[in-house]
Amino acid sequence: MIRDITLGQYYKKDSIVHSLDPRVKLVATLVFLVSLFISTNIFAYLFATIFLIIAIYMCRVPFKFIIRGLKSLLILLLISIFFNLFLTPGKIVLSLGIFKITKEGIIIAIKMAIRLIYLVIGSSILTLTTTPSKLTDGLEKGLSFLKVFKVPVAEIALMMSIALRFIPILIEEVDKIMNAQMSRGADFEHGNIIEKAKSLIPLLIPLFVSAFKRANDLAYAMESRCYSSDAIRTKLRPLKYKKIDYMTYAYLLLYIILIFLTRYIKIDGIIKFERFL
Amino acid sequence: MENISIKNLIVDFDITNEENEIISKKRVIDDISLSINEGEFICIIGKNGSGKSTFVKCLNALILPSSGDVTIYGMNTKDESNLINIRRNIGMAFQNPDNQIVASIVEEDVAFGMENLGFESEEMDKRIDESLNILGIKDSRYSQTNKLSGGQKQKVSLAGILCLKSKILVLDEPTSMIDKNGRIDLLNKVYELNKNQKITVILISHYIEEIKYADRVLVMNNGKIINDDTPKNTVLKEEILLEAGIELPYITKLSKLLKEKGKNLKGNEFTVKELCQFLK
Repeated sequence: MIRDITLGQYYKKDSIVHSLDPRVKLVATLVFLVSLFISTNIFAYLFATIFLIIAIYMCRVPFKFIIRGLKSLLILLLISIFFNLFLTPGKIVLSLGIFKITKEGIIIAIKMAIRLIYLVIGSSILTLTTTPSKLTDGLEKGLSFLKVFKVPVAEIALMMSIALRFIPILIEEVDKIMNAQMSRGADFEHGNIIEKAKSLIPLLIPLFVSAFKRANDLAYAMESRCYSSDAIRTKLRPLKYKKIDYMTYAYLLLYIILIFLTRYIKIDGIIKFERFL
Repeated sequence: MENISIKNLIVDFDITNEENEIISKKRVIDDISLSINEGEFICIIGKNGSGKSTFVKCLNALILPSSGDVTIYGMNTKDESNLINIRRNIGMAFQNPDNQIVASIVEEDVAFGMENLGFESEEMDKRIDESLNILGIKDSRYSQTNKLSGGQKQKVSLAGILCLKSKILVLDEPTSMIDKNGRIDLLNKVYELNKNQKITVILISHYIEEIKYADRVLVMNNGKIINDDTPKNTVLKEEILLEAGIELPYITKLSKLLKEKGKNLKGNEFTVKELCQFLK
């Protein structure tokens, strides 16, 4: 029934973006997100757009997959546009009863909308081109400097990958328990929200019991296979930077510099354009 | 050569109340002494709660003895410095394949043990290839573990153990969650490993038919070993099996009945092949 949920949204394809080291992609996404929020003028947005178009083109994932993530954002987007549009004080452009649209409101609303849309598209590209296990690998290696502060990075990464591995198993378990309870007259579909929440109790308790049992078994199995948290573990496929990864870092640096430079661009035409907005 | 030696092993489980105070102790393993030689195929049978699983967990120090000693290749399980070496020598596979697979991709899961021991990538690659080859699941090297069948999953967990080149293989009811064909296939592979590579195998089973692979059959009841004999002799001891709550194999029952009717049979046949030979 609910077995066919695919985890994450990895889109398998052979592209340059797919083959990049996950750390590079994580850093690139982070840089892109930050750049969106420090952008102040139209040039910065222009560069961000170019960056995004290049990324979309290079990752070879169909555009409709990339913008699928926007659907869930729609309500948030509308709310933020609404608030910025009507509640920003400033020079009134249009007045509809108690609602007043100001010039500043329009600018902020447009900026906000662009930021949110780019943010979702940017992070979608990351998850579409990177498998969850690669992503945990990347996080583990990328955050390994935190070990200095006694953060158990490797353990957290292992926990994440085990959690990912057990999601389909637990989904199957939910399916089984639901069928078992339904065959004994449980009703998961009718009633108001409170009744529905209550009806989940006979589903959740067996699920937790079995999850703990599984955890216990897994701990035994892992220990039998010589797992110990003090030992230094190696990796079957250790992450190694390739030439293309370094090149991407170089392009990223260029991008950051460009974004910063836009703050000092003062061309008359642009200023006029901004005034016009 | 002796590789497992167990002397007066006793394991007590604490029974606690809600405040975590020990109110009583339950004796799970009751004074077992045993020695197992290299290359032997041992089958342990017994009903639920007879202490089989607890017993094998004592072998690789997952459970420590309350009293007595378990020694693997001269290393006592009580000594914590031996822990990794003992576990390297004893590979253990459990009942539910889903609960012992760590990674989402087959090769990553097979590599887990080697990663823990700090192997190099090239060596891991080589050994993964080898062990998947032995078990005949080379094609699924890059498959997702949760898309495999029960039998294949169990083979993946076996491969993870084989690549550590453990000399002792402990299988805790590995076949109880898989269908009949998968069961026969898996056990045949284990049998080959035992014969070709001289790996000591300890197989826990609740299917009495599976004792046919063994050199020695241990029957457990209430934490004690009540029988330690060859499979042929074991099936003749009907009272002991009855005491342990184990039914005779179907073929043996049939051969006993035929013997009573005056056929020239020994009454300890438990494979169709044997029975046919005698009936010719």
